[in-house]
Amino acid sequence: MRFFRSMRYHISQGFKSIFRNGVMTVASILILVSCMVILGTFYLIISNIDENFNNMKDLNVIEVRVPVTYSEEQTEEVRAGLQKICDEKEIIPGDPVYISKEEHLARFKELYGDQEWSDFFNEELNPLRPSFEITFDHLSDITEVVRIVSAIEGITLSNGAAAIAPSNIKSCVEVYRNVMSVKKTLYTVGLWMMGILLIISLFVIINTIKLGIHGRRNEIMFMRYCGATKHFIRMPFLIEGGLIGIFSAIIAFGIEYLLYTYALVGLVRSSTSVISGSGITVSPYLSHAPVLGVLFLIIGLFAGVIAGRISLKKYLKV
Amino acid sequence: MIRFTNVSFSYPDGTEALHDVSLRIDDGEFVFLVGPSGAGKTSLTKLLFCEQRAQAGTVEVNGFQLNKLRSRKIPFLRRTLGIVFQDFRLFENKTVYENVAFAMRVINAPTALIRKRVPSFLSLVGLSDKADSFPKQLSGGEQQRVALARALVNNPAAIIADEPTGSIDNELRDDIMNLLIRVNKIGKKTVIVITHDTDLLRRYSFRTIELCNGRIISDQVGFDGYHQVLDGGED
Repeated sequence: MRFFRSMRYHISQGFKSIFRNGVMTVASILILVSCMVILGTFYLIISNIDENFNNMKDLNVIEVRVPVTYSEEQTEEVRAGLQKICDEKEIIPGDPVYISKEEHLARFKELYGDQEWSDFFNEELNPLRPSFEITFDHLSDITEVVRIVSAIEGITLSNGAAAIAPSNIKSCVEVYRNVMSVKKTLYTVGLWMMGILLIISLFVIINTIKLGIHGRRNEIMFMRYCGATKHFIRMPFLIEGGLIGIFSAIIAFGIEYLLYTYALVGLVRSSTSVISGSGITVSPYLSHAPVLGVLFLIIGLFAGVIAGRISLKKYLKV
Repeated sequence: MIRFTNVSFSYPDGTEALHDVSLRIDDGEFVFLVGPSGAGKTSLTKLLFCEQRAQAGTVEVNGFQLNKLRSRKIPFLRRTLGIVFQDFRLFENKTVYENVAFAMRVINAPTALIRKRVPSFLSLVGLSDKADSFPKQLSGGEQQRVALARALVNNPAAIIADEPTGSIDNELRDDIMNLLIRVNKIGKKTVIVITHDTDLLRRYSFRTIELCNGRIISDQVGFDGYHQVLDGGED
């Protein structure tokens, strides 16, 4: 009962303090909101890159091309070699799938149409090579799978030749590495910007609470003389910091929603946009809302409470 | 009971505020604490409230041994003491009722108890009809009575009044003194009045402790003038 009574008092004092230091509170909230919006925007961009990347077909397939000069027996030896490699590794769940020259031609036609290339790619003149496709589940395993499959290079056929040259193993590992590099850059830039803004917001909140302490110095002095505990005197200021954090999180969540819905989604859907029609999809805001909400609340409460504690330690001697 | 035994206290800059002070104030006593500026009255009050700690000697206040008192216990010591300031220190943005209630609220007293006690203490100091007024709407004497109600509302064992008549007219001075005497006699509370007011000291014959340069130079009932000549003479 005492706890609820004191909490009710502390929360009401926290609210009063927020309104008493109006301008500084607004400044604290604005800077904290900027910090959260930047983090949220980077998070949403990276999430969408991830989703689009994961949804792309054929990225989790490694193709081992069979040289045109290989006989059926040699092709079978390559298959057996690949099968053995696949059987030994859990991250490659399926078997190597043989794709004949004819199937490759059919895929080619499906992809590029039948007209323009028909002089060079047809049933009589088919320069495409048969291949084995090795599919794996998780794109993040691509580097490891390529390493494993490359072991086929060391297998020797019965005629003494190497089973397959490195140039015959085709994968999207480079694409994967490039996208990962872009993601890493975005992460780094996003985290640095957030970190800098977070530090600035800590300073602003510290000063806001310092002003609150200064404005209530007579009250604090009297509270001490009356026998108020240290905890009782300090709590409203911590709650003030926490409230600044919570308000910032709510505002940032709303701004992020507007930015995402009207700016990013609009950009992708816009007919003049470069990325419009490229097949890039944007996931709905609601699918990210829980993570963003929790993230913003954690940042807000962290900044508010930490700034409150620093301010109290520095400026309030009880 | 308040007991100082061979207490010495210096500020961090080396200024010696109290030197080998020993005194005992029993429960229910009325005491004047007098002395010129810098005599050590404020320092003695700071030691009473455990705002500062004595470097030598022992201080006991209402059953608390202040030399050994842990920081987290200090608020509980302070709840046994009530303070009245010369400049009242009322909160301008709170009504009379809220000012008095605030003293209870900050020690987390139940609202029902606050509602019950605040009106009775306002009645004690004769301000029931001013409960909704703000301090600026009150005279100096009325403000000091609010301050007294605020000091009393938590039922402390002792009241320390720092120049309680310093900021009010002579006519109202007796009102405040009579209130303090009532608190002492009827409420059975120890009252320590810190003052420079020689008229007051002459009019009310209570135990008077005179401090000078951090030492007790006189401890007697009644006042027959300062024992130490002040700069510029007696005030």
